[in-house]
Amino acid sequence: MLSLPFSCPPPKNTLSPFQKKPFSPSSSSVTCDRAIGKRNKSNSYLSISLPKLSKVLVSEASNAMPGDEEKEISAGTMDSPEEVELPAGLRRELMPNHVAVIMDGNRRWALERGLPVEQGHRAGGQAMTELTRLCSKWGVKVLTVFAFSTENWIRPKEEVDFLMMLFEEVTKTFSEEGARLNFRLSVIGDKSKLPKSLNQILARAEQALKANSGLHAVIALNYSGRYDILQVCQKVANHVKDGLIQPEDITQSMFEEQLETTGTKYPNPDLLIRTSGEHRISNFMLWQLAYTELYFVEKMFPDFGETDLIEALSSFQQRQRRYGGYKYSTSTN
Amino acid sequence: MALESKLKDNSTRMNKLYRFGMGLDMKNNSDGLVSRLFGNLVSSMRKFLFRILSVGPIPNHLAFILDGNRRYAKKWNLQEETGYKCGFWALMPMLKYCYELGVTYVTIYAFSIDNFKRGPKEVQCLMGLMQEKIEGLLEEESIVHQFGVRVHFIGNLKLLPESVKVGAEKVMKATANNNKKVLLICVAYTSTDEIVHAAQESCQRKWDEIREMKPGGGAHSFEISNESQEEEERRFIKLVDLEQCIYMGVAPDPDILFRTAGETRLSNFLLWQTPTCLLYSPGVLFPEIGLRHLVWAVLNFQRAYSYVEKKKKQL
Repeated sequence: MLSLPFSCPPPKNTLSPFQKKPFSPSSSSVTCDRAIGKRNKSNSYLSISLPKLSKVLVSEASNAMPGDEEKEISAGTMDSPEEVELPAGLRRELMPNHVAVIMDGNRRWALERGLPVEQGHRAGGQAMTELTRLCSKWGVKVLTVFAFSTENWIRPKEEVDFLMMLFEEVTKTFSEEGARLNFRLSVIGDKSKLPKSLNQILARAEQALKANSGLHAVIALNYSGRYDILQVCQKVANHVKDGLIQPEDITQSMFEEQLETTGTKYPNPDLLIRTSGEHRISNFMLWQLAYTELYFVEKMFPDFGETDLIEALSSFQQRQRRYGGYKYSTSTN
Repeated sequence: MALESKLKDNSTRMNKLYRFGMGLDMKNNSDGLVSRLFGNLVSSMRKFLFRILSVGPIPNHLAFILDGNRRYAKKWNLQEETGYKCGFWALMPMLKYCYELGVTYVTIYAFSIDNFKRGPKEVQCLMGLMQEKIEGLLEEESIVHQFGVRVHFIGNLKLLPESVKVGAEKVMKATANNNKKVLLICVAYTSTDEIVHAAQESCQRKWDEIREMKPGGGAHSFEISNESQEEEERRFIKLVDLEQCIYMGVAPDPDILFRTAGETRLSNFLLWQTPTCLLYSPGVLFPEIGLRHLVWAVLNFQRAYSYVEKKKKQL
């Protein structure tokens, strides 16, 4: 068992279900086996240690019980992001422009509590609503959520039907509140397989909120990263077939213009959050995640609340993004 | 003078450790018998450990982002070049462990297209080191011969200096008949470049097919299948066409992607190939990586194996 003689701490196991590192109030687990957090010029590798957050509000999502009504998005005029005070430890200039979330763990959350799977999805919907509100409040410009993957069709029909119905409900609520909260809405994915009623509701919501200038919420429905790349390849191939371009004219920027995410001002996420402890991308936005900072949380998505989002953003703000170069920079895209 | 001496000592120590780790120099070592016995004991213990691990599924393909070499050099007050060398010396034992464990494919991210943005001196140093190590792969005692490794250099090789490119092609040719293990070295590589290249290549092939089918005809004519015109237009390029042209098409998708130094990002590496891949990012700098990190990653892979296999089938 040879390795270089310089001592280093034993690897931290964040994938083990037995080892949890206590954090601020919510006792969430360490995100991944990293020894950063207080990266400094001397490169001392301390375990993750986020600054104490004096203004943390404990999330209500983990206390959601069946039968609770959906949390209402707070009424009243939203303050502009510049006016809202950020939680302690977060810096406005280092906020990510685009946050993406893989909302994993709804079913496991429900099964752990002996609840029907549908309740897990409803709780996930509530958590998503809260997440959208917080991102908007703190100046995130684009929020993409992975609501339904191309692989999810394999789930039981009852669950899929329920999810489609839930998406319709959430979209209607979003549409009603969106005008007041200045949200925009886009949907990415292969909509041809979605129910007609859902497509109609989504189209109406997109149209109604098109002129808004606040947070741009992007819902990935029947989406996969490979599907996105393949559809771009097929589009550019058709241009070649039609004689509009030559194969050697295909460039990366041409590709990026054709991706499903091209409609947003910041198409590539700065930060990806994945809940439920799985450390994988699961076929989500493969091209767009080339330089995205990944953040993994052990909690199931319905339990992901304000505290957890603050921790994720704080972790992001401490990272140094080099894009393969040498110059250290903490700025976002 | 003191610093130079320290650097030399460090370099000598690194070199000795590498050679010891690779089971080299046993005959020439003055404590040959003791070293040999100790080395054999360690090797036997390792193989026993791998036998235990092999009770569960073993990953077929591991990919490594070798991050942290410069930080390692800074940490130990070494020159950057020494940091890269230390990374290489840590890589060789890691390859050995992977192949001994039963992993067939190992991919390493040696040099990104983005790395050309670094200072010219650093790039030149890296190219020099790469050339030296590429030539070393053909040595009798190298891991290539030890394990029958076929080597592929993956990336836009036209961007490399001629000498490095020639060396890489020589190694690929010399190892083309090896069929036990595979080493994929990504140089002048980014995943986005790979995908664009695959799109270009597959379009070119389709274009050439069309022209062959109707040599005197118009560029737009092609054989209409039973599908409707609209469907056919949608599928000028299929998934299989893309996958045939992708650089990494010579290997299956990786099962585990290691990234050292605590960074959790993909840095434009194997984006297409890692939709279901387990991501493992230990805080250790790459020159400090050891067997325990590999063992830990494999245990976690085994824990999630059935879930991942299910997802792969859905893809």
